[in-house]
Amino acid sequence: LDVGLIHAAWLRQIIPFGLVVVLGLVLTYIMSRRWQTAVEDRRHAQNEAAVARVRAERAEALARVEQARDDLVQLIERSDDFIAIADTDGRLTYVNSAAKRMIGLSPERDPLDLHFSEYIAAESLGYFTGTFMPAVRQHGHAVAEMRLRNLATGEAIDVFRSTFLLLDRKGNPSQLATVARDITHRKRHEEHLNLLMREVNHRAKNLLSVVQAISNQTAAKSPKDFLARFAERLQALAANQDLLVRSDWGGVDIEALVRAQLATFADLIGSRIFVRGPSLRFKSAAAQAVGLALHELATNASKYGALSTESGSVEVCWRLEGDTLAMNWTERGGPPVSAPTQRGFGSTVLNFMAKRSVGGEVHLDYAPSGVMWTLTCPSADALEAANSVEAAERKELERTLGSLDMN
Amino acid sequence: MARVLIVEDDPFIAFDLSERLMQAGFSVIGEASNARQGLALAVDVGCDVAVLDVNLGAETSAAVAQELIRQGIPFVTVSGYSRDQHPSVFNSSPVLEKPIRIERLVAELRRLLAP
Repeated sequence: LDVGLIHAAWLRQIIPFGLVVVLGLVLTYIMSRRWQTAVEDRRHAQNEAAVARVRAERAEALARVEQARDDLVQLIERSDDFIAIADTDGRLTYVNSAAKRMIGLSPERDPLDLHFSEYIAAESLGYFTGTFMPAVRQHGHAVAEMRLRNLATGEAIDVFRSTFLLLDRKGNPSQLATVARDITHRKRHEEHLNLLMREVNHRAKNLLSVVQAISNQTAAKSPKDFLARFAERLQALAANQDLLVRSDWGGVDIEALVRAQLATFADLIGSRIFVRGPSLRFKSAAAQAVGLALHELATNASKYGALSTESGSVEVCWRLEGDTLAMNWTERGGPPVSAPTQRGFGSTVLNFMAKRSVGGEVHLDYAPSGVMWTLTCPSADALEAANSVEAAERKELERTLGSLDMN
Repeated sequence: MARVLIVEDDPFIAFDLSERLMQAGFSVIGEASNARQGLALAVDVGCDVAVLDVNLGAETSAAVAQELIRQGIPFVTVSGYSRDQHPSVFNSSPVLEKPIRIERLVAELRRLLAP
């Protein structure tokens, strides 16, 4: 046995095998390296994408924050409300444009040299320093109506104001913020409304005094049928009141007054009652007295005169003769009349009230053919001038009331 | 008999006031419905005491009050407004709010006339 031969043969067998193995190993190594590189490349790419994504997200978040901040800045700057921030001593650190307009600071003015008590109106200053600010410091916030002062014009501005503490991140008071709304117009309306309410109160009390006077006089002159007569006179006053309110205590149309006082006989107007005269307006005082006189005439006519029968008639007419107003009540076709034996309050009204209220003359004639009542007076005393100061004031009042209604 | 001047723009109230004061024993020298008439009566006729309605339609009776104060004649103020709405010339006089009670008015007038 040739060991050498065997060895050579073994070698011949083993060398190719070894080569194959080595080749295999080399290939395996190369493949694994490529695999590893591919994995690394992929991981790297993934990381890159993640970083880009995070960057984009952060940029987006930043943009959102900036937009939100811009929105807040606009909210504050473009608001019509006064918005300001001050340090805890009250020295202003920021005021928005509405606040600058309201208290008369130029738009360029740096507010840092201004203390927030400087633009409080004198009448509100005591309340502001003595009550309002102590409440803010104690409770963290306070709301109140007060008056500010425009530093440029001196003009007063009524505001509804809210002031509150701003806190730092540790929760300690760092600044004072104020939001205030201009309520000047509302306050003016309120004042005007109060004035109107006082005026209404005055007129109501005056009317109660008139009622009192009529009740006294009715009780004194007609104690037996007091309730009936008093109730009728209240009706007459109420009818007048309707007309006065409808015209806002201004001129009352004469024809409307006559028709209101003859309302009980409305179905006779045109057949037995004739109402004629030009379109003229009584002043309110004249309307009240003449209205009650017409009421007394109509009551008498229905009890004893032309309206107490089926055939009598009444003519009510008025006309202007130069500067004189003449008004007539003429009854015809009723039973024969005679002057009453005793003077009631009705005849006082007919003889004196109308005369007194219009500064004119009254003639009351109990003619057998029927009662004739004539009132003549200077038209200036009895009639509403078309363009009087009162009429202008009333228009102003109506405008105010109109605008109040809209609110 | 004490002479009273009445200044009141409403004819019904003036008439009633006048009648009731006469019943109470006063002599009413006149009922003025405006300040001009009131002044004329206060100056030309004269009175011992007066009743003034503050508001006379478009004007007030302040001018009459001034003249009465000048003459040293006392007066009672009658009004539908509250006192703080009156011209200051009425501040020194007693005020009765409308609608008034005649007993109160008579008592005030007698008090003012008392020596």
